[in-house]
Amino acid sequence: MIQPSPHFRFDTSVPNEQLAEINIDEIDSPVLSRLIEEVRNDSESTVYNYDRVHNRHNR
Amino acid sequence: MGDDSWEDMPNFISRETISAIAANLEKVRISQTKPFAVVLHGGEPLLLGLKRLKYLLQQLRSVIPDKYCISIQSNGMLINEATLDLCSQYRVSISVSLDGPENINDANRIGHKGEGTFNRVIAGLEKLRSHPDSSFLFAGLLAVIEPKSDPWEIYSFFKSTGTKNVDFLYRDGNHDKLPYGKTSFDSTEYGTWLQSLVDIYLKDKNPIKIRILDDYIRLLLGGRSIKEGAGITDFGIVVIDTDGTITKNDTLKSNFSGADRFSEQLNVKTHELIEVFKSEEFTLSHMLQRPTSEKCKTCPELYVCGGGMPLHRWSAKSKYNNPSVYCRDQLHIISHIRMKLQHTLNKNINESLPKNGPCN
Repeated sequence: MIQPSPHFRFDTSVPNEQLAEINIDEIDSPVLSRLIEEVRNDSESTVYNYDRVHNRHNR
Repeated sequence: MGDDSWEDMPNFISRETISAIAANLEKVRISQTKPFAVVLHGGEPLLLGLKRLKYLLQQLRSVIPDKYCISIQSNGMLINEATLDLCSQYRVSISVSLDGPENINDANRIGHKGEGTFNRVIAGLEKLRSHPDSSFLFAGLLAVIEPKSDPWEIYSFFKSTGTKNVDFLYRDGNHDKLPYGKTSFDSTEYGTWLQSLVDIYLKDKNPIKIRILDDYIRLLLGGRSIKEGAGITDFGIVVIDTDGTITKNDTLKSNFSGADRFSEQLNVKTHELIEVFKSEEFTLSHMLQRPTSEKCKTCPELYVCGGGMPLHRWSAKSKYNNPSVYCRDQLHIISHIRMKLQHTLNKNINESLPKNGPCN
């Protein structure tokens, strides 16, 4: 992966340390629970296990 | 839009070209540690017929192990049991293009005689769903956004198809030719549509996956996107035409004919892909994913938006040095999701913190 340019400003809603504090069991939305878990366990395998292939086609 | 290059391409890929692609991909596999994905798309890949398709898949799988994804993007109309058995044998998944219910899909997806394709696509989907290896074979659905449609109707329809996931695409368009449904650069028809969709999505207790929304949410949570068009991860993409011609990301050619071509005529039969990947021109085409306009580079949402897809940044006057024509839509949906996340997660974090009184 190419590193971000210094021009890029990182501005996320939820800093990683806060993400760790979230109690998944109390999240009502299954979508949000899943995605929080994915980000917490972020790794190449998480990203590449996703069904990304079919989504490659962009037209 | 501006693409007429397909007119010069053979309808079917030859055995010679297939062998050259396989030989090239084997060298790429050996030269890099990260797996890559191969997507067959068209036109319609299943028009190849069973015999040619078998040869192609056999050749690809002879050099690419199963952990490397091979997928077919299909219109779904030619799916049959023999094709599915073949794909199962070679571990090749199938994604089907379908825009929504019949009235939505058939507005744009029509057959040679101008007839709607919906019923034939649904028949193909049914075969895909009922195959014993369906859980592997059925990779998902790919839909183009109809901004005038009802997001609830579209989402409910896709859930009813039995798909695990669906991706929604912005329509082709740029600053010189606005995408269908957008009245101006400042309008937010697509952003508003996605806003309604994400509200439905986040409330659903039994959701399917929606790639574009997952990418935005994951990025806002500090994670990564899985596809170009959101976030600042770069994706290496190369396209090989049926005659073996190697091109850049083929989405670029919607801007003008030849926008996806390298300055030199490259072909898998005469050139090595690994050498193409090392070339300055490929690096530059790769870097094109990063927006260059000052507006994007100083935008607080760049980490999430990524400047959208290069094809949407194009204007004849400034080339790719513009924000996306979907800039306002992206900012609209990102802002909405950010607000939803802050509301939900701040509440959760606050409630999970110890409820001690103030320190003395």
